Amino acid sequence: MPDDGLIPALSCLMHEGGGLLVGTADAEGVPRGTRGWGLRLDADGRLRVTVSADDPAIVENLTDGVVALTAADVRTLRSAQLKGRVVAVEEPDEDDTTTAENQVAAFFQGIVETDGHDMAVLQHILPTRRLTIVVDVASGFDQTPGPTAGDELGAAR
Amino acid sequence: MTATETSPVAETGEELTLEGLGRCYEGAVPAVVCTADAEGMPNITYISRVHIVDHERLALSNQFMSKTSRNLVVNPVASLLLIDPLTYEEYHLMLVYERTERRGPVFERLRDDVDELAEQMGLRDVFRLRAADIFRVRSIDRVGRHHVPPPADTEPPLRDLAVLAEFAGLVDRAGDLDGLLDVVLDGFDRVLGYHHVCLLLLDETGTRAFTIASRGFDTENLGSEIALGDGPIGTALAQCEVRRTTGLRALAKYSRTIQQSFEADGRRGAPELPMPSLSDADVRIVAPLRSLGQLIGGIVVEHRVAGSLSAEDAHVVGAAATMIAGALEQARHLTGPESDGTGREAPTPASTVAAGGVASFVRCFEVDGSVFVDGEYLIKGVAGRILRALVTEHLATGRTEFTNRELRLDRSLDLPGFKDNLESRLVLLKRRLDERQAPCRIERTGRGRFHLEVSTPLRLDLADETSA
Repeated sequence: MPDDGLIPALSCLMHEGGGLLVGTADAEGVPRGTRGWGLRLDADGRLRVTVSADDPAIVENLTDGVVALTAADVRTLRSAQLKGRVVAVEEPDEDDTTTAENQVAAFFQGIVETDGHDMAVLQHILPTRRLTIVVDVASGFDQTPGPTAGDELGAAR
Repeated sequence: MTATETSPVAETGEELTLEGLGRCYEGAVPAVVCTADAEGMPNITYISRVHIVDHERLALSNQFMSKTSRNLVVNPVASLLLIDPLTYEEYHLMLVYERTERRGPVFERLRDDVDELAEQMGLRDVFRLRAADIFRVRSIDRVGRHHVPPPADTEPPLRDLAVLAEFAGLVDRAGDLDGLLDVVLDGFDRVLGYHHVCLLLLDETGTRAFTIASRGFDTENLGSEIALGDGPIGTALAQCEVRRTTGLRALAKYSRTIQQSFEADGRRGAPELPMPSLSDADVRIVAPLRSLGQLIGGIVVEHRVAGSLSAEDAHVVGAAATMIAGALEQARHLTGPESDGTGREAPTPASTVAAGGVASFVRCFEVDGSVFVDGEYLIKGVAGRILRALVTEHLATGRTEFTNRELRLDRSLDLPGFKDNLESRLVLLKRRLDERQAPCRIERTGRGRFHLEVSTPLRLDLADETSA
């Protein structure tokens, strides 16, 4: 399990304007990436991550699969990657939806402020359908660009 | 694609090709690469640069991607996400890792991009491209379902040959160096459609370039300098090649992060006067000005909108730079060695030049020729020494009429004997005085002659002498 403070820090990062990437792999080990749209900690200490369900291959990979989650601050590129196992795939509940809405708004605002891209155009990358995955996190890594990228942030369980 | 594989077709039936995704490789929106290790544990990360190699291959820059590299060795497939910066359409590409290159043309192209990034960060010695990973593209799919046209206000500048010919005609008709600079700026803005332009000339030492004219920036910052080989612009000039850099905003953000990671100590001091630049530029073209094979300066074009200056624009700016360089050399030749030979003009009565009102305080530093007016930095170097000489003479004798010839003979200016660049420095001084609305200005009165227009009384302080 990574540092106790890592997941709350990531959650905070997402609320301040973070982008979320979700890496998956199929049974043969073929990787497939997509974007995440919300991240929060549930009462059991597991992560609930809202992901795009537009790609059927991703949805299939998520069932009983493993994932890599990279959260990056759009303003500073400070980032971390968590790895773990998906223990459930569900329709987003009300809290998931609210979290995703808030984090997407902060993410897009960060892009508008730092990259100058148009808010209306950004809407084009939003998925049409979303799912929530529940993740049991096993390890975390520094992903900030630079020489420390890849350093483990906590010992694996 | 290989013949044995099906061409990737989006849901709309549109065939997607690597060439058709051109804007996605500009670096304005970071690409994402996902790999997996031998046990199938994925790894997903942003990547700074993607380059097209041919119609079925891409190259990815490899700087810090140690985990990605290890995964590819044991599981040579990858998933890539690309975003079009103008429309935010997203594409998913399945890749098969083929090889890693550490030399050759693909590596060199990718290294140029990474070197640009390193220059931007001031980390040329530590931030280097280790390798270029080459992938064959197995499939391309559009993520989402809609084709989105680019916004109407991102139309590229005009580019056809007729426009370039019109620009050439303007340059040909310029009468002198000062007029030529105005024509060039106006031509870039109005005819070629490049609205943010900076023109640089090489200084007397051949090691630095200074801004002699600019348009479209918050401040003109005439006289600002850059050393050849220093930073992205200085490097492009030192290498004498046209260079287009895209994704400048992403580069700036990335460089800030990397600098913090390396705990860089800010070894590059802030220049006295920064080069004119858009704070939110996303793409830049630098083209050298060359005459008879010799570098004489450079031109810099910037644009705020990602994808708005293409490789074709780099050709246009490069061609325009060639025209400008020839005209510049001709203008300097025509106005350089003046033939009047009259030496000093008769002094003008002091009473006619000592204008009334509050005196302006002109402070000069011998050490670098810098001049401050009422506490504000104005200019330095040869142009600063010229101003000091003119003001000194004006205050001593009341003269307002001067010639290039007497300046050329003035040893205090420290001009080199060959290619003294005096005309360029005088034009720079004139434009800088205008830019700063200084209390004294320069007006041309004839070939090799000029008038010093003094609007308020001047007080001169030779700082180095008083402090010695």
